Amino acid sequence: MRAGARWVALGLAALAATFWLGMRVGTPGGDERGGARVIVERAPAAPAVVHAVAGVSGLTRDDIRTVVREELARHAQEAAETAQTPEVISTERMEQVKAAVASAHGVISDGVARGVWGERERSALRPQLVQLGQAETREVLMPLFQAINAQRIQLDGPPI
Amino acid sequence: MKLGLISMIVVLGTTSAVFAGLKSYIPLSINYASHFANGGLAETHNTADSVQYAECGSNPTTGFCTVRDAANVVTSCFTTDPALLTVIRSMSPDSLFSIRWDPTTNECTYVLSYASSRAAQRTP
Repeated sequence: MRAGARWVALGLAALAATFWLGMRVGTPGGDERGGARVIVERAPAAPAVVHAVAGVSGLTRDDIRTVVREELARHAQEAAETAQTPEVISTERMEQVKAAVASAHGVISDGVARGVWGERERSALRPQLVQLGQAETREVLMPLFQAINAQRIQLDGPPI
Repeated sequence: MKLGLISMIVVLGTTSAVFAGLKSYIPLSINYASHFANGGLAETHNTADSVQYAECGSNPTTGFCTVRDAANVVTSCFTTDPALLTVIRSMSPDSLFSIRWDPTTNECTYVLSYASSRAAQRTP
């Protein structure tokens, strides 16, 4: 019983020693414990100032303004050119379509007038048809099919 | 004698098996009042006369179907409708077809193409 009590006392002593060591070693600035704390206030950082580089190429504010203006003007011109390009193509395309429609009408009118629609007429019509959109194709072909269905034209082979 | 009878029965049985299945004659038919036509391309080809025909075709932008009846009356319609062009391009020489057209514009308003076991195949 006495021996047991001794072991318990030894264990408690070991625990206390461990606790004391932990307090001494684990605390940051343990040596200053109880001493006066020194608080250092630092002045706020000075605002950044961009100094003009004075050197060989030394750009001034006016130089930079000029460069920026030039770049902006160049971009604006490029954008304007890009926007104009489809209009130019569209105008050319419109002219092509107009010419193709006129030519196709001529071929069909000629065929209907002669009452024959064969390889010669198809060959003349095909290059025009491929240039036409849906609306123009319908406009051009209606008179041809009207003539076929009215039996006013002798169809020799496919109509288109 | 008995052997011959058995052979005949076997031959007849085999023949009927080969030619089994529903068959319909689907000749070219044109309804001018309702503006539609239908038939089988192969069966129109197989008709005894040398007048009737039916054909459909397309270029990249436009399609057409043309039929001619036994009285030599030609009827043709065209289309620029991409959906109808797809149907026309799906046709084969043995296809059955049905077309409808607008009598004012002569445009095809409907094109059907299908394949059927009932239809006859093209003969030379």
